[in-house]
Amino acid sequence: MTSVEKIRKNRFIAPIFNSLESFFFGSDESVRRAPFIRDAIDLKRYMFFVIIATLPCTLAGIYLYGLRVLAVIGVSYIFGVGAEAVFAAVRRQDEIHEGAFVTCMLYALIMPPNVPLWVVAVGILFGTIFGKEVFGGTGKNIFNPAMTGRLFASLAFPDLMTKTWLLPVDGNLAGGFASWVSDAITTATPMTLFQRSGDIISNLQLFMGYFGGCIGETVKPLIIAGGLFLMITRVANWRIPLATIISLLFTATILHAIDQQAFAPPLFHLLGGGFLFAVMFMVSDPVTTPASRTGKWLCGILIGTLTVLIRTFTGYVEGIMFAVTIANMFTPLIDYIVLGIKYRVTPKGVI
Amino acid sequence: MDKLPVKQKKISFKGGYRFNKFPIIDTNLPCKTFEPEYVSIPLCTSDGQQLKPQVRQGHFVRKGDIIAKPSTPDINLTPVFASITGRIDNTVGAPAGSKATDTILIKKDASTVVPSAQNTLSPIRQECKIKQYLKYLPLLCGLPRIPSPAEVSHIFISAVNIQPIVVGINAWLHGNDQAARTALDFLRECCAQSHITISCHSKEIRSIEKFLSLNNCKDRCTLAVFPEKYPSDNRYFQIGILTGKPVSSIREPIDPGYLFLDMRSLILLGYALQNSAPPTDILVPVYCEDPDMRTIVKIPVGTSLEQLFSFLHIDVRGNRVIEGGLLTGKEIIDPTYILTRSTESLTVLPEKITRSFLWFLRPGRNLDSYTRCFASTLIPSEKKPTTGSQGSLRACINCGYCADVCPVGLYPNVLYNYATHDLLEEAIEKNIDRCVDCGLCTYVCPSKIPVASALYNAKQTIYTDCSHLIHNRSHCL
Repeated sequence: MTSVEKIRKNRFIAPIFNSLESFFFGSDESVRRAPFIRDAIDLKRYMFFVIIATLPCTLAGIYLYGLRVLAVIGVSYIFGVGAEAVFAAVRRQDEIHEGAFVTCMLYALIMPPNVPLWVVAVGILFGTIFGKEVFGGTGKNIFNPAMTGRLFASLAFPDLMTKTWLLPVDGNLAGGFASWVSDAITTATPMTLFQRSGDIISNLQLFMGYFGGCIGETVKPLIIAGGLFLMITRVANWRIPLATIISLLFTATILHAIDQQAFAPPLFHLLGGGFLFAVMFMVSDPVTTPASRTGKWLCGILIGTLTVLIRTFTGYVEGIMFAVTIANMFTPLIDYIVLGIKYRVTPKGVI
Repeated sequence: MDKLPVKQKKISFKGGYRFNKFPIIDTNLPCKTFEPEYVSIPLCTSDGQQLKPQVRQGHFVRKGDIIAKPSTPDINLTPVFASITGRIDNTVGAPAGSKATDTILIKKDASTVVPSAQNTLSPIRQECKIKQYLKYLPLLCGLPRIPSPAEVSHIFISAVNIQPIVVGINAWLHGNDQAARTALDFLRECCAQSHITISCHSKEIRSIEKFLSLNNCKDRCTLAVFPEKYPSDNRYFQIGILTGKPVSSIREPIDPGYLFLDMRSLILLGYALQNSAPPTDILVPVYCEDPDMRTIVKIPVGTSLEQLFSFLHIDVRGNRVIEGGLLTGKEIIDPTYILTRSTESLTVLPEKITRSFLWFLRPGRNLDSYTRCFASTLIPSEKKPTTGSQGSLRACINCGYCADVCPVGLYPNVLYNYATHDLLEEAIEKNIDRCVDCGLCTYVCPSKIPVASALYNAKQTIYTDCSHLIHNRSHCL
C-alpha cells in the first residue's frame, strides 16, 4: 500500500487530504448513468462565488477598521473549518463540505471589528456545531450557521459585542490597510443612536457607511453589488431578498405614517444596521429558506416584517438576526402549507 | 390553396433548458446505408414479450418474411420480420442486456438460386394492402395495440430534436424526403377524420413548410412551433402540451387515439410503404467528436454495434457509447449489442476527465451551465461534451435549479426527499407521475445528486405496488 493510499484510508486525515486534492485538482469521477453529461457548476464554484461576492465588503471592512479584520476572518476560518473537519472525520465523509468556507466568511463579516478573538472562536464553534453539524452538516441544517453563531455571541457576551464600536480609520488614503486597528471608538451605531435619542444620520451617510458598525455591513453600495452579482449569476434567488426589502419598507412606512417621531423612516430601516448585508447574503441562503417559490415570498415577507417589529418594539436595536432565525424555524411549515395548497386534492383530482 | 400558409400554433412553456452551442448533426449528405453480412434478431416485442420462432436452421428467408410470431394468437402483437435476405443460421441465446431470451441469426445469402417452395415462407408483401400498414404502427411508435383508423383523433408528428446533440430536420429529410411524404400521405388517407399536428422548433419552420407544401398537406395540418428548449422533443411532454392535459408517465399506455410518430418513424414507415414490405430497417444518427464522422445510417434491425462501427470506421477505445439521448439514454458496454427499433441514436462520447490546478477558478468558455458562473454566459463557444461528473456528490442545498428547469412544474428536490424516504403516497400527492423523465433536474444539480433516477425508481415502484392511487386522478390522460 502506497503512502497516498494509507492516507486515503485514514479516517481522520482522509477528509482533509481528499478535500485538498479535490480543491486543487478537481473531481476525477465520471458519470455512470443518465444523464451522461452534467452542468459544469458544482458546490465548490457555487460557494466560491459567494465568497467572491463578499470580497468587496471584506476589503471595505479592512479599509475602514484596519488589518485586525484579517485576524477575525482567520480565527473564524481556523475554528469553523476545524470543527467541520472533525465532524467530517467522525461521519467518515470523504471530504470537508464547502459550505463551511462561506459560513466562516459571513460570520466574520457580521462581527464587530474590535471583538476579542476568543469570542469569534466561541461563536463560530457554536454556529457550526449547533447551527449545522448537529443537524447533519451542509444542506441539512435548519438554521443559518453564521447567524446562529452571531446570535449566540450577542446573547452570551453582550458587553463585548455591543458596548463599543470602532470608528473608521482616519487620516490617510491607505486607510485601514496601513494600520492594525482603528483607534477611534464610539459607543453608538446609527441604530443605537436613534433608539437612545431619536437622532437620525443622513441617508447618504448611511448608504456610504462611514461610521461604526460590523466589519462587512456598513458600505451599502458594495453589499448591493455583491447581492446583485449573486442574483445575476443565479447563485442566489432574487425572490426572498426582494420580498424582504418590500415588506420591510411597507411595514416601516405604515409605522412611520402613524408616528413620525417614534418610528424610524423606511429608508433608515433599509440602510441602517446589518439589514442589507443579511438580506443579500444570509436571507438568500437556499438551505434554510423554503423550496417553493410562493414560500420564498412568504418567508421574505416574514423576515422583513419581523425585522421592523423587533427593531421598533423590543429593546434590541438590530432585529434581522432574530427575524432570520425565527423565519428559518418556520421554513418547513411554510413549505408544508404552500405545497399542500398547490397540490390540494379536489373532487376533480389534484390541481 | 397551396399558397396559404400552414396554420401555426406557437407553443411556450415555463422551465426547460436551452442547450446552447452543442454539436449539431446537420449534414447535407444523404444518409448512409449499411447491409451487414449477418443480423441477430431478438425474438421479442418492444415491451419484452417473447415470440415463437417460425423458421428452422437452413431456411431461406427474404427481407420482410415473418420469422417469429406470438405463441398465442394475439392480433395486437406484431410478428418479427427478417431484416435481410439470407439463410437462417441458428437460433441462439440473446446477448446480456437484451429483453429477448433468444435471437435468430440470419446470414446473408448472395446465391441467386431460387429456393425450393418447401423452404420458403409465403412473402408477406403479396398480401399487403396499404391500410394493413397500420399494424406496423405499434412497432414504430410504441403503441400497445393496433389502432383502428376511426379511433385515431390526432396524429402528432414530431420534427423536434432538442437533445444536447441536435439532429437537424434537414439531416433527417435529406435523401429521405420522398419516404416521409409517402408516409404522411398514407396517414392522411388512412385516418381521414384525424387532425395532423406537426411539431418543430422555431428555427426549422421553413424546412417543414417547404416539406408540407410539396406534400400538398396544408389543409389538415397545424404546425406547433416549440421553443428551442429541451425537452420539447419528449413524447409525454409534447402530447401533454398539445392536448392541454398533463400525461401521466406512470399510467401507461397513452391513449391509442393519439398517434405519435417522430420524424425517424415517419421516414421508416414511408420506406416500408414504398417497398411494400414491413419496416425492417432503422435509421440511426451517430455522433462522434470528429464532425466528419457524424452521420445518419440506415441499417437492418439486428445489426450489431461492432458491425456498424466497423463500417463507419469508428474506434470506440477511450470513448463511451450511449444509446439514446445524452440525458435519457443508456450506456452500451458489450460490442455485440444488437441494434433494434428502440435504438434512437448512438453517441460516442469521449471519456475525458481533465484535472487542472485550481480548476474551479477556470473561466469556462466551453462549459455549459444553467447558472451564469462561467465565461460561456458572456462569450459562448462550442461545447465539447464529455462524461466527467464536473464535481462530487453533496447533500441537496435546496438551490431550486431543478424546480426552475422542470418543464412540468414539479419540485424535484422535494420529490427526491419523498422518493428516497419511501414516502410514495406523498410523492403521488405532489404529482410525481407527471415527471416526463427528461433528466434535466440531474443535469443542473450542483450537488450532483441523481434526482431523475431516484424519481424513475420511485415511479416504477408506484407502478408495480400502488398504481391504484394514481388511477383516481381522472385529469391525467
